[in-house]
Amino acid sequence: HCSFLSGAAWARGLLSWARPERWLASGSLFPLSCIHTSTSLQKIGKWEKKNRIVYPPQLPGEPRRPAEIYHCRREIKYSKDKMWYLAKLIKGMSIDQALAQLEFSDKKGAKVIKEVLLEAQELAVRKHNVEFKSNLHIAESLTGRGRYVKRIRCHGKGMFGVMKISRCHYFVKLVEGPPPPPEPPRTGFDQAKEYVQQLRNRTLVHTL
Amino acid sequence: ALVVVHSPLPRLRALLQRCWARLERGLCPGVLGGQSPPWGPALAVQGPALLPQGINHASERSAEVPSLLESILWMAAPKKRRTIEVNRCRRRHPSKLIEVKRNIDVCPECGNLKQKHVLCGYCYAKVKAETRLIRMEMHKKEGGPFNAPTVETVVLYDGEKPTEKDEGKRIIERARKRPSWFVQN
Repeated sequence: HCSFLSGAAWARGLLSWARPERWLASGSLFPLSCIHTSTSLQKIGKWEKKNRIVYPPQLPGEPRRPAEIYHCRREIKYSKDKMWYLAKLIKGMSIDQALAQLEFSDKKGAKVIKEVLLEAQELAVRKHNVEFKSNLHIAESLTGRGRYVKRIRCHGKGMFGVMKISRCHYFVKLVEGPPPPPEPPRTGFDQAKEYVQQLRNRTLVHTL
Repeated sequence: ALVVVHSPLPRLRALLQRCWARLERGLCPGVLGGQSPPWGPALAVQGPALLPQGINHASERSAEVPSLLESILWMAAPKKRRTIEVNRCRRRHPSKLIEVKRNIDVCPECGNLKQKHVLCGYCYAKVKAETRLIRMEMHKKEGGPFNAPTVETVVLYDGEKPTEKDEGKRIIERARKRPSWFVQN
C-alpha cells in the first residue's frame, strides 16, 4: 500500500490523515516545513540553550545587568586534559589579552580556542547588544569530553593495544565589562582568622 | 656474648672482678695448678664440611649477573592506584600550568601583535609575498636552472631608472609602486 510512495510523499499522506481540518480540496501538496528537518533531531546542547534565556526588563533603579554570551565548539580533535591547560590560562582575562596569549602559544588547541573566541566576540557584537568588542572578559572557560573512538594500535611480535582517539568540547562564557581584579592570595593571617571564626561559630546542639 | 660493665663505684668493681675470677676458675680448674686439665673429645659430631670446589663456587656466584627472570622480582611497580586527588595535585601544579607570556607587543608598522624578539608575522608575510614575485621574475629572466649570472641584481619599480652605480648589474623590473619598506639605495 505505501511501498510505491516515496518517503516524503508517505509522510505528507500521513499528515493529511492526521489533520483533516487542514485538508485542501485542491489536493495540493503540503509545505515541507511541517516535516522535521535534521537539525531538530540532533540534541541541542545545554550550553547553547543558555544563550536563549530572556530576562524581564530591568527597573529604572537597578544597576545595568552585564551581557553574557555563551559559546562552544563540539568534537575538537584534541585531548581534554591538554585543552584544560589553555582554558585555565585564559580564565579571567580580558578578551584582548586572551587572544594575544593564544596567538603565541605553541599548542594545537590554542588555534581552535582563538577561533572560538573570535566567533563569540562577533556573536556578542551582532546579536547580544554589546557596544565595544574589547569590553568583554572571559568569565568561564571549560573543557568537556567528546566522543571517544577505539582503535587498534599494533605493537611488535603481533601484539596489539587498544588506542582511544579522544575528542573534546570547549565552552566559553564572555561577560561584558572589564575583567574582575584578581583576588589576593590567602595569607596565613586570613587562614588564622577563618579558623578563629569557625571556633566561635560552634554551639551546643539539642540543648536549651 | 661478652658483657662489659664499667661501674663508677669501686666496691661493685671489686665484686665483679671476684665473680669473674670464680667463673674462670670454674671453666679451667687445672690452669692455676700448673697442670693442664685432661683434654679429650667430649662429643664428636659430623658438621657440614665445605667441599674443595665449594669455595670456588661461592666466588663465582657472587660475580654472576642475575638473569632477567630473577631481576623481574626486583622491578619497580606501583603498589597502589593513584587516586584522582593525587593525580590532580600533580597535573595542576603551578610548574605544569602554562605561563602567561609578558613579551608581547604591538608592531608599530601594521598594528598586529608581535613578540619582542621575533619579527612581526604580518609584515614578514608581506615581504615574503613580494620576494616570491621578484624571484619569479628572476626565474623568467634566467630561463632555466644553473643560469644565475655572476653579477649583482637590482630591483626597479615603476618610474625608476637605473643609475650609473647600477652599470653592470642585472636589472629586475617590477610593475608596481615601490613598497615603503623596500628602501632604494
